Amino acid sequence: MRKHILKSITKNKIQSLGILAIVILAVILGAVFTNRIINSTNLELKLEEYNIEDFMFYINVDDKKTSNDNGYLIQQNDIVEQLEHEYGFYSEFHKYKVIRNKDNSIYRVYPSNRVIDIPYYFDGKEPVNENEIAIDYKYSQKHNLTIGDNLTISGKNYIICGLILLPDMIYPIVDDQGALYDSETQCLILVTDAIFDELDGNMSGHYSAKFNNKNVDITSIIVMIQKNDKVSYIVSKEDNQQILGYVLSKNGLYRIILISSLSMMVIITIIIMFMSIDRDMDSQLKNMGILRAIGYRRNEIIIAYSFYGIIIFVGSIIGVVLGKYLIIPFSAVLDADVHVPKIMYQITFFDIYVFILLPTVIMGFFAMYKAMQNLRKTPLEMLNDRRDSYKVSKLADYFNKKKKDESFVREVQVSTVFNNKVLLILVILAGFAISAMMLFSLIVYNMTGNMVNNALTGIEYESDIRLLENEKYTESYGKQSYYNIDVGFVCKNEEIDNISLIIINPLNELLVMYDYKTNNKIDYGNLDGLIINQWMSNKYGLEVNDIITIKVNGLEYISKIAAINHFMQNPIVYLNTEYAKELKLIDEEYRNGFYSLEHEEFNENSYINITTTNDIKNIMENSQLMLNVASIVLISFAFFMGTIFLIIAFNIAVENSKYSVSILKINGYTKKEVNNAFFGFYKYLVFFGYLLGIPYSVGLSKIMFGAISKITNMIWPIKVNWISILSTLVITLTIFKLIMLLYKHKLNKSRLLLIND
Amino acid sequence: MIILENVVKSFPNGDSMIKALDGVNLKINNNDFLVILGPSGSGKSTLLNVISGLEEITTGTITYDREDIGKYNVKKLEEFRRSKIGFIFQAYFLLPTLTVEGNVRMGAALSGSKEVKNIIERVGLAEKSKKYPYQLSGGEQQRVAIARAIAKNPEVLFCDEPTGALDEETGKQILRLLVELNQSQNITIIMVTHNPAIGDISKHLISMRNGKIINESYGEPKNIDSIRW
Repeated sequence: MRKHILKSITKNKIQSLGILAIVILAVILGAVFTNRIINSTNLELKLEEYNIEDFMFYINVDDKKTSNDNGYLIQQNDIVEQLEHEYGFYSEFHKYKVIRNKDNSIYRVYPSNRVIDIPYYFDGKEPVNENEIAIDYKYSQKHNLTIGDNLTISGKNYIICGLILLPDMIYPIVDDQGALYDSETQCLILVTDAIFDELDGNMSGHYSAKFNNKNVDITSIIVMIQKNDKVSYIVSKEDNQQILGYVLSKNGLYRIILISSLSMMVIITIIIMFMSIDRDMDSQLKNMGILRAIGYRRNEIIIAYSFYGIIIFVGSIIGVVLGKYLIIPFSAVLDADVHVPKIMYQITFFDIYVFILLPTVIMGFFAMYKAMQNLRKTPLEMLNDRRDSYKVSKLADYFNKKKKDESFVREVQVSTVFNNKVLLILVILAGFAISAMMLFSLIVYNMTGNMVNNALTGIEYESDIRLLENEKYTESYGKQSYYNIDVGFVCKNEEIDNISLIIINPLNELLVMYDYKTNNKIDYGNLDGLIINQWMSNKYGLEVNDIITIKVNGLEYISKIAAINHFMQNPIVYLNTEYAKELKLIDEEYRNGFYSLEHEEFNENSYINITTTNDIKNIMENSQLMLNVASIVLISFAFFMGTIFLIIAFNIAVENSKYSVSILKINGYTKKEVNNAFFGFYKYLVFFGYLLGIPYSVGLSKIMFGAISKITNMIWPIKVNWISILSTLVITLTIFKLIMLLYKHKLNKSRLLLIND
Repeated sequence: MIILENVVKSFPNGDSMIKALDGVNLKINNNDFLVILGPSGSGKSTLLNVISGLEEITTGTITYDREDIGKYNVKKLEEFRRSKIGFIFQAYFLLPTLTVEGNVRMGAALSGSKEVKNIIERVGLAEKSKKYPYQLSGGEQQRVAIARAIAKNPEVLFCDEPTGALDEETGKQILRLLVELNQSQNITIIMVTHNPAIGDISKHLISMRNGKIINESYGEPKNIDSIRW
């Protein structure tokens, strides 16, 4: 008996395969995204294990006692002990040596012995012998290095004994513009104290600290420490991009992406599955009638229809297993430029419950419930189920009676479509799903291009060279020099720390800024005020002519905002030298950095670091790659899921229309007229769904990336262009057209006397 | 005039073929009222379907006004069904989403007729022109099917058991309408039925069995009120 019913259900193979495919795709996406979050949450548990710092700080470098002959920071126990006692924390000096090799790769070497930010060993062990080193995992992957291999540092060979992650170095090497990490050329190395002392290289370091009492108000104490003259720079773990805790604090960001981008798709998938089962079950009425008439019990029939649960069960298992394999490359792309522990993906109870059991049980019970509903009719009623006895919906009745003078074909179109609300919604949803997912993906794709363009616009130098010591301006450095100091702001009753204030020569030609609204070049040489960027304007609600207080070394200076430039990231403000003098921020012109048209060579004696335009480009392209891959994945899913949605919708439409199609054909209507009568109107519905998808995806991306802008240090530049909107339309209509052709062909091939079926 | 010569229609039946029509020869004059009688499986519905071009024949020829419809391509067949013939079925086959008016317009749209309301009046459904099929009785639905058919101005009306689902009185009303169409509009009627009593109202009667015509007769049609079934 069950075999018989199974056969009758699987007769509609396209429908069953469509449901199966949608379940697989939806479960893959859901499993990959949610497991990404779950893994990040698991990583949070590791924070304690690694004893990750609460904050890091530098001692004031103006105090000559804190720097060595080369100007690099050195350990100052007495000052630090005083601070520890005063603010209730303990700290560790994380010293390192920077070694640049001939091939331009950079090793940053640390002693392995740490109490705070304890290294995590992916493989191997801590170096204990004088020829042993542990290197960072990403570098080892890029260079196919493993335990037991050799690595040459300053001409001497060392044996690799461990592969590590330093939790305070997830972006292991950074410049002052933000992240700068290339796992191809940059490597973190842990060595024994003896090797560390032996190695030649510029030694530097910072203090990592943890509060003694976990329950203190960390933010307010950090503000207090910031005000201490002995501290030049302090960054809490929430603000420090180098800290694993920072990445994990962005779990909220992942959740926003997950909820906003996937929720609609998941809802649509669920609705489509319900509708699909609902329609299919209705078409089974006669089969059920036959079974009832020949003596099968209701229970037997109801249980047999739990077959849908089996389809969902199989699909969800395939989806979860595929998701398991896909999350690894997916995470590799997302974490391409950071250094986090490997994600170990295992099928958990959560996966089994949410992605397998729940949908299986719900859909299985729904199918059984539908069967139960159908079986309330007598066998005779089921057997006599005749299409022309179907009632007409109020909506169809309204349109039928409203439109009198239109063509008959249009009359059929409207009455057919509006009489089947489920199908109507299904087709609109299919159009909406393709449009929303596709446009959202294209917006993300375009955004990455905007980010790269923005980062490079106005950068007309080859190198941005940061010097250590503040020097008085001399002609030899030319007009391209600048003076960068770290300041705090007070604006709108809000204190903002760690702002880079760049006092720039009015005649500088290599850094060009544009007004973010008008795109006109900002003549900063003549501005009496600060130039902030659009991210700051957006994040802190600052506008031109707003008054702010600049805080430097305990002194306060009042200034207005004179312009908002086009840059989209990081708290960096500019003002010209003349205005800085006017404000009494400086008494004469200093410099600690300059822009150069040359590709400067690394000079260990003079520079903190150099950022070249290529570096900026590389960073942006790395971020771009991650987002591009994500958007291409979304585009592919949009394409496949949208296609399947439409196939399911049209399959139902064809099944429902066969009877009416035959009537028209028998009466002499041509194929073209028949197709037009029954399918012609669907293009308007798909188009309507497409139109709904536009404000949804634009609104979603604006809200989503607006929220992300607030919690990150950059604006995510959403710009909706007509090309994306038109491309989405073309793709949506192309999918629609192809499926129409397929189904028209199917319908045209069908026999004339289908009315007897 | 429709002429069938040695028409054979075979269907696959497992590994073999079964002949639904086995060498049928028949001549149907214009304005004829032909009734095809026979039990289930005799081939009467198949005969109706092949004459109307709904199904292709296996061998033989069917000419309609001297044209062999067996040689028609899909387009010509569509044109044939569109302009020459109308259908009435036992199960009515109305479009459930359209009102009476809409269903009649289905036929009128093909002939370009503007007489939809008049036709509905003629079949006695003026009051119900805004009703949907599910709101009508069986007899009323069949009248809509007739109205739809005549709205096409067909030369031939094919009726497949048009009274099969109706009670006697309603069935007679339908037959009266068909006779009137035959007489007043000169529409050729070809009707399939298993009810021998209906044969009495025909001008031309054939009986079928096992795919063959076993009896053919011409006669004066009786008054509908005089027949009983």
